[in-house]
Amino acid sequence: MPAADMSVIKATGLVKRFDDTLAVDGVDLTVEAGEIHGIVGPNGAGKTTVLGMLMGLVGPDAGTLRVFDRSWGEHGQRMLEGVAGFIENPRFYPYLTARRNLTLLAGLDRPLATDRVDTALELAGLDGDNNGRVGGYSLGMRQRLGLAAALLRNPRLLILDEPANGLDPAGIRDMRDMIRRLRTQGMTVLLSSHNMAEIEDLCDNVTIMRAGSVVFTGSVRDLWAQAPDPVFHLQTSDDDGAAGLARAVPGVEAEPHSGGGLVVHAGRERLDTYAIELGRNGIAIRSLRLTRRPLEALFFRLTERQPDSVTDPVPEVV
Amino acid sequence: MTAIAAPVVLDGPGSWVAVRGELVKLALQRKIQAVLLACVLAPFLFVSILDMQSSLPEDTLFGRWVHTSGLATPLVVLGFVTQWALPALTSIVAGDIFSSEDRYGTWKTILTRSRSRGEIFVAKTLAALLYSLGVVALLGGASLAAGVLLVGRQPLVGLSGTLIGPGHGSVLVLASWGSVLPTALAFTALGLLLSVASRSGPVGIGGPLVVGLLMQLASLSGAADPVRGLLLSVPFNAWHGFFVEHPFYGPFENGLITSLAYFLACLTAAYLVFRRRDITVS
Amino acid sequence: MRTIPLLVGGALLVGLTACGSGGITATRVDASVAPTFANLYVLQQAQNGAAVSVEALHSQARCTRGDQSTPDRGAGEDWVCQVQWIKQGPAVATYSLHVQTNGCYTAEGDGPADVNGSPTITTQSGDVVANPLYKFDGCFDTT
Repeated sequence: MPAADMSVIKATGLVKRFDDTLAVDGVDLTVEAGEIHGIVGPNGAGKTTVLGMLMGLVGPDAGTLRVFDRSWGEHGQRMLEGVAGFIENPRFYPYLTARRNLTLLAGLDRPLATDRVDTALELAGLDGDNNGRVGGYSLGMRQRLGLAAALLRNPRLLILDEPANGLDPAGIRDMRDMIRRLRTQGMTVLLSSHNMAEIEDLCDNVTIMRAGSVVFTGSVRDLWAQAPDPVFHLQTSDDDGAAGLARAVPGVEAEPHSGGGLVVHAGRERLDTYAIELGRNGIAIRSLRLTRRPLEALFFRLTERQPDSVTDPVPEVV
Repeated sequence: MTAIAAPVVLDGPGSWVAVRGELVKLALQRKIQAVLLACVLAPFLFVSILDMQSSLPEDTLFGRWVHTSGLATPLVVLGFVTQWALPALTSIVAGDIFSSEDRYGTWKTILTRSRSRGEIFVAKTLAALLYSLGVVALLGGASLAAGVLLVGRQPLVGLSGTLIGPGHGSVLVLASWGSVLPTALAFTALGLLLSVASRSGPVGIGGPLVVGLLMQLASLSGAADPVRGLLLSVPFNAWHGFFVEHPFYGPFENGLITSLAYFLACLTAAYLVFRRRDITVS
Repeated sequence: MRTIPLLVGGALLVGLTACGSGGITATRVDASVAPTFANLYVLQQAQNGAAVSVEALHSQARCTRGDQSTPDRGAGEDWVCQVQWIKQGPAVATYSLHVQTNGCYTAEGDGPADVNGSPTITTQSGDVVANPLYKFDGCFDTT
């Protein structure tokens, strides 16, 4: 077991180039024992390449990488002791059943995990299906099977790439519950996502990537401190009056929305003050809707993808 | 590229689990089941078809004796399959055992367990070699059985005009089938190399077949005499020397060297390519 | 990656040395055709009910390729052999040979008709069987 003060993952200056593309450009990543760490970024940011390096599938061109204080150079495949997970959609042999697939994989584990196949299928909620070939599985079922395959290894570090991909809302809830439960059992989890709400919901710490580099790494609380005010869509009995009143309340910005109503940028307390002011001035609030969560707004700002809806909230009005 | 390979270590019975896993994956494929079944049935079908015809496959050695002695059957079949079928049959597995993981996208699934790339390479290679061994054994055994059961155990006229009795003849037949094994395994290694390097099933399966046919064509022409030692199709003929009055084994010994050279060169190259490659996902 | 050309080069070298000398020469063809003919002649005579020994035949073969300008070596369909043996007095049969690069050949009888002219013969017991001397295969070492 690693010492309590030792990082589970310690990566510095990772670089990977594929032909002419610099996929990963000097990435540092530290994941401590027992945390749920999120790694987010738009498509092509290099998340999957970083996860590939962590799992020994891709050799870095430069940088150092230690997992449980082991490295490829010194330990080879043994770097993956205690590590399990999947990258992109988990893939299996389509002409075999889930049980057969897992039995084959268990034969590649040390110690052999063959006797844990049933437990793993059960944990992933696939124990009812014994004879169907994986080729007929939905993306969500393969995702569950991917989790089962990872749990076979009894890992201390679980690496999950977009685990909610293809799951229905109930499946997403189950997956998140399971990740939280695994953490209480002492597992460290590194998961990638493009969904800030998922990160906000699950993670202690987060690393945001853009174009092969890290643009933020730290706790979700630190991220909140940098986040801009949330954005609301407001409809009142007197929009012009409400817009005028906004100028009198510090920390609140309101501008007319093309589809009617106002776009309001305001922190939670400022919004309270503003609402009270509206009431005091005889302006009734007809609807107030959160259109952009703060972390999402920050994510877009950090990854430089200006979403249309910041200045133009969703047109449909309640 | 940084080496992400670990040394090849086979540490006890646990390693056979990986080989067995590869064999299970093969055995559960319809295609492979069909090929193995065909290896058993085809010789019997061949004898039955010959029985219905009056003409003889005289172009093949021992072809003129197929109705006279059951021992001629396995030798005629051997002559036929070494033309092109053996490279093709062995490559069905060897040429696809690596590239199928690319097709299914399963490299990332199996390489993130506890086995090193070296161990996975050894497991796949052994599985492909065992399959090739099985194909040769099944074809040889079935054609000998077909000849003996459907034609009989009559003495066979050898390649010096002497009569070879059924007992000694059967031993020579089995030795002949055994003599093509090193070459069949060399073609297997070529299939493995093409499978690793091309990551494509059609190239891995078709490549050795094309190479085998081209070498076959080249070996038929006297112009290729200076490089006969390089032609992998030549050792397939080495068993002819077993059937003369004073048997000669020079071609077999030379063929063994050629086959071994191809075998080692292809496997080494395949391993070097495999250990260095990045498994990128689509 | 530089190791791969090295390996291929090594394989080439091994292959070339394995090739060695040799090939298809008139001496080798002679040495194969004569005893093969003798053995098959004994077989043919046995089918006719006559017991003959190989040693008594003193068979010899003289094989040449093509016309006089063609050297008597190498694979080809234009080999011709004169086979001599003792049958009461000296007897001669002619064969045209197709010699392949692998050292195997097919000999096709060109007379006399009573020896190698007919594809089948009738045995003493009246069975019709293949005439072993009509066409036969043989192989010799080319290494």
